[in-house]
Amino acid sequence: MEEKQIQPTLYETLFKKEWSYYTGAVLIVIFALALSMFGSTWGVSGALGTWGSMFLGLFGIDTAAAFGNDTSKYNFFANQASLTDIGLLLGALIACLLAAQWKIRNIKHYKQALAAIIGGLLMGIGAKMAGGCNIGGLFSQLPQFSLAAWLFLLFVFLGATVGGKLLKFFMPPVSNKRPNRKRLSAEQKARNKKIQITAAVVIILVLLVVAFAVAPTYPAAPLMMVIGVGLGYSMQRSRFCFTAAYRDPMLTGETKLTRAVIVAFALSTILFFGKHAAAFGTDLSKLTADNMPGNVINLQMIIGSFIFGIGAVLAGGCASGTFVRMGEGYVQLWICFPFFCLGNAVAGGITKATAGTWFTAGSKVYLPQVFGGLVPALLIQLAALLALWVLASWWESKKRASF
Amino acid sequence: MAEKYLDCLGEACPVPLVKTQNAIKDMAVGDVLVVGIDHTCAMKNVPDWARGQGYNVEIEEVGDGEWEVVIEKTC
Repeated sequence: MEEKQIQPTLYETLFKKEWSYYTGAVLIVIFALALSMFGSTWGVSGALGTWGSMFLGLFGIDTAAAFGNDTSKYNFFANQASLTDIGLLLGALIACLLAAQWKIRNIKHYKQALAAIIGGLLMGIGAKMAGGCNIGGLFSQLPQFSLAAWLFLLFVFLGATVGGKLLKFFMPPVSNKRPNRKRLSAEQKARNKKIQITAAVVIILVLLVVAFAVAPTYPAAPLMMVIGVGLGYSMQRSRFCFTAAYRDPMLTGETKLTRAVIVAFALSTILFFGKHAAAFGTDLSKLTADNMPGNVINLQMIIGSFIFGIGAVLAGGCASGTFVRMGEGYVQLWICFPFFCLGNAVAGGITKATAGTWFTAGSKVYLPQVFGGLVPALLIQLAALLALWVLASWWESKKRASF
Repeated sequence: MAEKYLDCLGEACPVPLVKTQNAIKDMAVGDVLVVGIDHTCAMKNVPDWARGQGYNVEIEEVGDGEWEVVIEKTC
């Protein structure tokens, strides 16, 4: 069997051929930086908790009193996370349609639904406790020299390792029977392609109309929509996945995404270095808990990131991954989504009940203060990321050799 | 030269790759595994892994967003 080398057509190059993980990493970093400059840093899970609370509110539950989630002032078009979250879904949908690869990807076994429900709940609860998901708690924070994000990375990795061990209980049984599906003829493929591309164009036009319609009332909304769609499109085309970065090394021995995410962290670190240097100057002693970047380090955050790791492996995607895969038509992630929302909403009760106790006691740690300035922090953080990259590369070769 | 089909349709990462690795372990050199996939991430990471192991790999898009990854265990 020889490997065939067929020259891709222009259409395939533009809309179909998957991008490298590194292409995805660079684009995601640029979009995320744009968000942090024109709005606030990228977060995904926050809006899910709001939606979960609004749903519970339909049943007369006072979510403000019970879970500390006041949704009375919520407005979809004035909420950055809501717009970028739906953007992720629509961007992935558009990418998938333009590639003529959209279909309903149904589950085939009840265990997948079970994994989605349990995974969704665990992710929702974990993200609330940890103060963010892979994005808000990790990707948007680690480049901002927050020690909490490094701890999130460690504990989400441990959680994912546990999740990987649990996964075998949720795997559909191995089937070696080829499903009896009709192969599409060339004409059918061409017709489907036309339908899918038309659908993508219609969605883009509708989005443009919506953007123009809301722009006078919510000037920031169109830009947030564009960035969200850009993120979703980039993640779909490059098959970028934050969960795989810390899940796959232990489970399959693959570290290509791990290394791409490390490169994304490094690039983003350099960009945020500039932003912080401009904002804080050389005197970091004036930073207070209020304007210091990053999450508070406490037991709740540690446990939350661990739980989030288990959930993300079971569900088959983190918060951003859930939106991207919903756009691609995955039934498993559509099942996961409402449970993520509910878990995130209800877990607000944990934060509320433990406020002021040892469970939530802690402080922020901003690494430039520890290392005596932004420049040493930058160099140490880049060196640490490089070391992780080398370790990941070595690990993959080792696992390959022993397979 | 046995050929085996592995149905991973509807399955999300990392399940297709884990199942592929398990299936390949039990195969003899020269055997062929055909993995049915409709997960856009798995159609990248399953071939990536198999090529990295030095196997011959072909990807055929058999339907809209549905692929068959043909892996020949060459070593």
